[in-house]
Amino acid sequence: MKHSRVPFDIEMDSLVLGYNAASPLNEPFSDVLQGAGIHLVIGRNGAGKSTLIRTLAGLQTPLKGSVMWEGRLLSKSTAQERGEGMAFMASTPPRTSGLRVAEVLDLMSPSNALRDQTLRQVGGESWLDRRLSSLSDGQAQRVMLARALLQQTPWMVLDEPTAFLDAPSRTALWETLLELSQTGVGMILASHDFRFLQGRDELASVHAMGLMGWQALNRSEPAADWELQC
Amino acid sequence: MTAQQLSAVLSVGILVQVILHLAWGPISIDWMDAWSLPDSTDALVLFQVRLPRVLTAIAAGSGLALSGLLLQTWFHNPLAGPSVLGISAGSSMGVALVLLTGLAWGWWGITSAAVLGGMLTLLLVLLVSRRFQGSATLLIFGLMLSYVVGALVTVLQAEAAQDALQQFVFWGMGTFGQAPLNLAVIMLFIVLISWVLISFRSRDLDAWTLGSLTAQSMGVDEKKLKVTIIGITGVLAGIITAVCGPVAFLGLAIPHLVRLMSNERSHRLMVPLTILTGAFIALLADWGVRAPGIDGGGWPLNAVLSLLGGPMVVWVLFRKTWNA
Repeated sequence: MKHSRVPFDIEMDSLVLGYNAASPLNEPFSDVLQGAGIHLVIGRNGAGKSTLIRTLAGLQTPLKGSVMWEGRLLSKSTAQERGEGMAFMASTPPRTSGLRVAEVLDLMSPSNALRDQTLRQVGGESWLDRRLSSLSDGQAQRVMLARALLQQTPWMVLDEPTAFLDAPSRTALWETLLELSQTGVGMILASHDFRFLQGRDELASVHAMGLMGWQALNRSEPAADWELQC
Repeated sequence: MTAQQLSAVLSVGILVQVILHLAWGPISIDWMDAWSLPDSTDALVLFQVRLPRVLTAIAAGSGLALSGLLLQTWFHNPLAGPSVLGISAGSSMGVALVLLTGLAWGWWGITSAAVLGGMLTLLLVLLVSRRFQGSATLLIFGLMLSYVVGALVTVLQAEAAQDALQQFVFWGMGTFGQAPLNLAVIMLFIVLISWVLISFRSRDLDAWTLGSLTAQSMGVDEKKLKVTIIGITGVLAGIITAVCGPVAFLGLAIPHLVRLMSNERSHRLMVPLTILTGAFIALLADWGVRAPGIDGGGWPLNAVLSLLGGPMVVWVLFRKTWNA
């Protein structure tokens, strides 16, 4: 599946993240994320990876500074415009939804052919009539990935997509994500589980959020060295 | 049962019950007389007593069931409902203030006080729900809110005049039999408008079950959806509580009964099925209120609903465990 629009530039301007103005998560930083492939964000627990992911997707407002998509202020965009620009995948699959897999995917109004093809892409072709709540976490997470893909956005943001998965499900999900990143989509991915990405050509950038603030890391270094820097 | 079959069965069940409710009573009436002689006792009983009662039951049952479904979806919590979250208690508080302090402005005063009380409570619940992570905390907050409001109502009762107090106690037992015809028609109309409004949002509600952040990332406007849900549940729970008293169980139990009878979970089908089931069960419960009492005494509605609803919820829980 080819994406119709190329990933636009995501500009972060003097960004300060957090929930509470009294305890910001970081010093102000500015940067630009651009181009297709996987943009990895690493950092310790509580460093603000999830907050960054949500802020970049417009699901949370920054304490200070701003995010711009294609040169336009994200805070001025409508929910619909945000939905057209970026798809989001949470770290936990929904546990209380009784919808069938087909109903979840049909929320994005795809053709039946595209829906079935995307579900096959994540290895779930036999789950179409299953209830989301009857699937395992790993399976449900892959359905949520298929849903995000069907949103057909130039960007996808994923917040620790493998956090709640067992080892085989993790490997399967990473392989799917790497394959997808070759289709021209831009992916911003927060993860602790990044060794799988080491040395891969699909990796567009690596950044750390931590005590030193927001910093770019060398993507060709070994993953163990990234870890030391956050 | 498919959704189509179930809605057909429910519609027939509602129709049959409406006819029986209108026909049956301590006074036997001649329908032809009732229609042709507007001043006859027959007409009075049919149009001033039985018809308003049937319409009130349908409106209250479907309205509370719809409120329950919307709250369960919004809070991602199967145990949410207008009475559980303290919304009915908030409405009661409004009614108590108006009735017991002697500021009784008739039906409209009571109704607006109940709607206002219900909405304020719902706003408070929404405000604090941002702080709560687990779903149990929210329910406990609602419960505590009910206790505090209940205590305030008791204080008001202690200070109240005798006849105002008696009026309030009867109101608290719940009934479908107090509303005049015009109010019953207005309630039914509000339920229909809510149905239409929410049917435009069924995709948003389905998306919401996937998690609030995921739904927002799919283009769901959180504020619009929230305003729609607060507006609808606040007005419905408020006006129904004002007219019928704090009615127990319907809001919480009906959506579960629908889930038990049907395999459909999309709101496109859940909403109409919930509305029909709510109306059907409210009419059914009203037999328990009307039948035992000969002179219109009857059992209190809330007693009948608790006798019917309590075991039903337990049964749902058991079935769920065994099927899993």
